[in-house]
Amino acid sequence: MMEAILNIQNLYKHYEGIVAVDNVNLTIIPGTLTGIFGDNGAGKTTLFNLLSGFENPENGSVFFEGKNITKKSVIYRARHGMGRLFQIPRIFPDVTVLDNLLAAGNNHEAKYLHNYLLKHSAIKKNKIADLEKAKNILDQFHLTEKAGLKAYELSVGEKRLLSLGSLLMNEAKLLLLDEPFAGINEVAAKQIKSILISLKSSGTTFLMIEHDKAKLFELADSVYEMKQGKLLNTTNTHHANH
Amino acid sequence: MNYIIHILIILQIYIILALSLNLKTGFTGLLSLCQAAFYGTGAYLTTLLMVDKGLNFFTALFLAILINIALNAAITTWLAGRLRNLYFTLATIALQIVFFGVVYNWQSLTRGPFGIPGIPKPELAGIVFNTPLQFFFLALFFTSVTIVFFYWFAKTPLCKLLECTRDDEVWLTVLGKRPAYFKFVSISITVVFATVAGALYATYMSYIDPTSFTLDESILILTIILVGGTGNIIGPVSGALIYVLLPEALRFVNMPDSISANARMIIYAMILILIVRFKPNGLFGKFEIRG
Amino acid sequence: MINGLLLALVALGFHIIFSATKIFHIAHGGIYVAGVYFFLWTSPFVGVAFGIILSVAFAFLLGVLIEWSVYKPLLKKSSNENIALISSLGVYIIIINIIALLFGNETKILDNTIRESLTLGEIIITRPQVWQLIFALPLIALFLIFIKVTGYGLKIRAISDNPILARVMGIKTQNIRYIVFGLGSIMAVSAALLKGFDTGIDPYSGMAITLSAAVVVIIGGSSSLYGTILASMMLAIIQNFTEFFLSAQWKDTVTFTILIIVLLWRTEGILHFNVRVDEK
Repeated sequence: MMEAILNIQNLYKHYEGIVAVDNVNLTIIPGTLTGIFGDNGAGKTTLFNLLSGFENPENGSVFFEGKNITKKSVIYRARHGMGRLFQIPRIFPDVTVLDNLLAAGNNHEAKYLHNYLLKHSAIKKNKIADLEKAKNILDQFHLTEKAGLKAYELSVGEKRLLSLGSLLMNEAKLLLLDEPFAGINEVAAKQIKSILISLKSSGTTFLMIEHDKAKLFELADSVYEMKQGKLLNTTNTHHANH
Repeated sequence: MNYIIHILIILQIYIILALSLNLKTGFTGLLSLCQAAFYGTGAYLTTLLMVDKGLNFFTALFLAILINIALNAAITTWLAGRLRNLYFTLATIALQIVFFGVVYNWQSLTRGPFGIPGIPKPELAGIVFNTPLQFFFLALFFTSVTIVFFYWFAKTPLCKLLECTRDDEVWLTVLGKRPAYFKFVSISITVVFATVAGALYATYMSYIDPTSFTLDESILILTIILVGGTGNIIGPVSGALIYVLLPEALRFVNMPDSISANARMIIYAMILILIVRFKPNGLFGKFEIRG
Repeated sequence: MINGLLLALVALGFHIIFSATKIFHIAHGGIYVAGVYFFLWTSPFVGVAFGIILSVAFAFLLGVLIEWSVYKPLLKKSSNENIALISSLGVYIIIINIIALLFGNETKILDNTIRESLTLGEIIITRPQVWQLIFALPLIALFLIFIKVTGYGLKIRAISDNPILARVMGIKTQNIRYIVFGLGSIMAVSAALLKGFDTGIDPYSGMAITLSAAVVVIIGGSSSLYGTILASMMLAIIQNFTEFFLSAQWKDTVTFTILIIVLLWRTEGILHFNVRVDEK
């Protein structure tokens, strides 16, 4: 059995008397998609906040690829391969689609002003590599014609794809998806579905919150329900359709 | 003729100031009203290093830049990290006023309201830049460097990251990059060029006092880039041009000098209000000020 | 301490404008001085009492005018607070410069006859200051009554809390906004007139007191009017002490250092704010 990419142990968080996350335990294997559904206020978003580093738990731990990241910052987790997609897609609105992707890349040297003098060729090399990567993502997501548009001009579904693409540019290995199928039409939904499937087969791991149970059961390897802070087993589906 | 040169020198100082604020406000989205504090700190640091320590202009300028960054860039970045939008802008107003107060009151260091006279002209390899024409060329050198720098910088990936910081800090963090760092870069570059402008002003006028570096001056510099536009070179430059040439135009239509100072501000403020309402990217700018 | 009351007048005006419209109305300082200059202009013709009434009405109208011509059009564009700030700044600059053009830059005292002072133990109060005391307190009281008790006051508070809900419940938000600006301007001008009779007025005194008022509103909390009044008194005392023990020049420095400290203290953890916006 492969080593878990994410291991949540007894995670606990409460606010002013309400227990948002109540002793959640979960293990996720690489290359799988785990789904969570549940009513509003059941604690799903809090769980995501705890996993991605926006909030700290009172109790319990989170292990990512074997490392204890329970108290680590958002940036630390992001730099080590965890990505998060928000319900209302976050992108850089006044920057072009292509630039959104390039900015998400890891041209590390380009961040330092003195490097433009000293490490000029390294920056150039990274630029070319990032451009290649970005082009592939644009192709895969069918966004190539829109590469020059400012990101705010995209539709919700396209913005969501751009978000996803940006996380991939940043080499995210585990993606937390917050209701990726909300608010988009069937065509866009189909597109996202096929992208998720192909990404999964190349090894990306997903943890997905979604209300649309049909999509959940189609895509997920395991599905859980979150109810009043507790994570409950529903079924384990080994889906057959692709 | 000398008068035209004088105008051109002042124009260049404002161009440098405008381009530097353009980076901080237009690209990085930090609306700030403390530019005059950076400008003034630069002027006073250069002056004190030249007058009290006898350093030459270029050495003084270099040191002034370093000290200014350590002081102003550090504080401002810290504020930018903790406060958002309106509250950050208020903090910059506060910073500006505190700056003025410190300079005005710390008389043992800055001579306070009496100002510092007798600032020497810059010297390089034996040439003293003491005629207006010579100073004009010195200013031209710095202005050209400034323009070339910002033109080049706007195309770098680093600059794009500044824009991302403006657009959505949280998303930038989720992508594993630290917004505070980019704010620091942006503010530091702004401080560098504001220091240059301050050094030029101080050595050109040979005298400085706190009244050149007030909140009103900060408001003015901000107005320049809002009217001219942000996000490119021509926006801030045109803003500075309009501001400096407006009184000349008024003189041309025979407006008496006593009125022209006020009239110029009225016209300028009206243009500002109209631009905010109808043309948010300024007259020639690329970015819309969305705050 | 009396300065505290005057500051409270201006601050209360600024407060309701800021909490009801989220606009950082720097032009408040412009209206502050504009009202007094209007008085200067009209009172030779209509006498002091009537002049005061006219100036207050003028300030009310000016406030409404600014909302109508400058801020209202910005509402549609879903611009943020800084945009309004910039426009407000523009308005302020225009007002100040028009005044300077028409009336000159020097300080003008509204009433030049030297009146006798009142001595209360060790404190000497000049007559204008007595007037300040006599008028400022009731004005503040009336203002509080208006906001807390009347129907309009309730609507103002509703808009401050939740403008969208208020509109859904049938409150005519635009009209309330006009009232808020008018009322705020009246408060400012009252303070200005009272001060004008005492130490005089110049075109630039508006900015200083408006910024102090802003500091007060931020310190006192944008939800509590009593907090604003209390903070005004405290700030005025601090300012007076500074003037007394250090010098008049340190006053601004101290005021704004306090502002920075308060801003930092009150807005901790603001980065996480954004995340909550998108959660359920």
